[in-house]
Amino acid sequence: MATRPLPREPRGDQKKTKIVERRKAEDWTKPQAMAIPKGGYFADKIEQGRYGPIFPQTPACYGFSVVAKVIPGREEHLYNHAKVIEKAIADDPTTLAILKAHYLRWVIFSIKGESYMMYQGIFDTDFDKYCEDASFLFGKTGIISAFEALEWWPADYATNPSSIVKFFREHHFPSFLEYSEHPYVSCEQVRKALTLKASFSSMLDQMQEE
Amino acid sequence: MAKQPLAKASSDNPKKLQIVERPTTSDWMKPSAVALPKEGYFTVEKGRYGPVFPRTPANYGFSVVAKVKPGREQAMRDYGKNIEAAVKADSAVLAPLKLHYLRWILFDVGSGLHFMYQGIFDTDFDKYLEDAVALFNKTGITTVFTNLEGWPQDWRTNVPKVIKFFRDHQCPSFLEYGEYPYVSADEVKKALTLKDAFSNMLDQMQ
Repeated sequence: MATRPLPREPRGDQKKTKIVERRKAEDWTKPQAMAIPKGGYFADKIEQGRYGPIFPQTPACYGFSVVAKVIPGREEHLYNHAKVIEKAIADDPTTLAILKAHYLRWVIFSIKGESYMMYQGIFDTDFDKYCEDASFLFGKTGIISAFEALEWWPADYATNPSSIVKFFREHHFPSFLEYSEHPYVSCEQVRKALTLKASFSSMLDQMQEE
Repeated sequence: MAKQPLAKASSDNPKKLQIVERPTTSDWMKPSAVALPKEGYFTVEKGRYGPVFPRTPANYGFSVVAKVKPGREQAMRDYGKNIEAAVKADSAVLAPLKLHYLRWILFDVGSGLHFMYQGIFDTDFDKYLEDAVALFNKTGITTVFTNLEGWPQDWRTNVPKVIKFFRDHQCPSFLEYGEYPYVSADEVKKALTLKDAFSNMLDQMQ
């Protein structure tokens, strides 16, 4: 929007500029926290999806914290996988665009000498769609999933989206509190706002004299 | 900036507009991922409390895991409601922490109930903790961490011990990804404010 010239407004022309995707200020201007019941759902607001109840959107968008045990001796696979993903995104920054993720974190931790991986994600699609899109992505890019190093990961993950959804649902631990400084704002909104700000700054630069 | 009228660019006015805090386009326009070594940092850069964890495309942050004391699960869940209420009463209550997102999780993988504190923020790891202790002391509210094994009893007055607890329980990521990398929460909010102001301006021109 900001990169296009404003339409002129002659008196006889009733055509209006269309403003789209503007959220009300109260949505994001005030940081918000949300306590979430055990199980991850609000009993009075359960909405059924294709694979079970839909985990609700919170001020911190949609997301998950998936924990699974690392197959003994496979930790190195995870570290190598990280380099593959880093390179894939450096080569093509849109590699993971389909996932609509704000941030992703892959963590290894140990409890009583056993290694676990936690996959933390903050994204804009719902939990099940994220999993389906991830399956599609693996099939399309041929990138081997880090999850192959985890126990109970389905062998047919690149061709069977429902198997990924099942695995993620079984290994997801819902938060009991989520907080966001700019609640409910999607990636696309952030990127559009940053683009507008950068364009506006450039415009102001151009108005300065030598 | 967007709420103020633009200065006229007249030839007899040498005053220049000051543009501040503009992110360089190359920083945030391209989604980015960084693979991290096991230790969580590439080179040992000594901070006041130990090696400094690097900023990644997903900013600073942590994933702290600790075991919950027996019988304290409900206290932790109730504490979540306290924070919800505190932020509702004063949305700026956590502002000193410079957060993007926080997530608190309880999980049990067969070794007893554990807590994970996930944070994405803009100050470095140690400063976040100093600010957090100062915040809790200022507001008088206690911390959810009192329900965890190993949490120092003198946490209100002993910041180094708190930082040691967090460093001992921090599980560094081995991969981090940001869709709009290295952008601070403040920059995001300023950009959203500008976008909203611009939309309002366009509304007024209809």
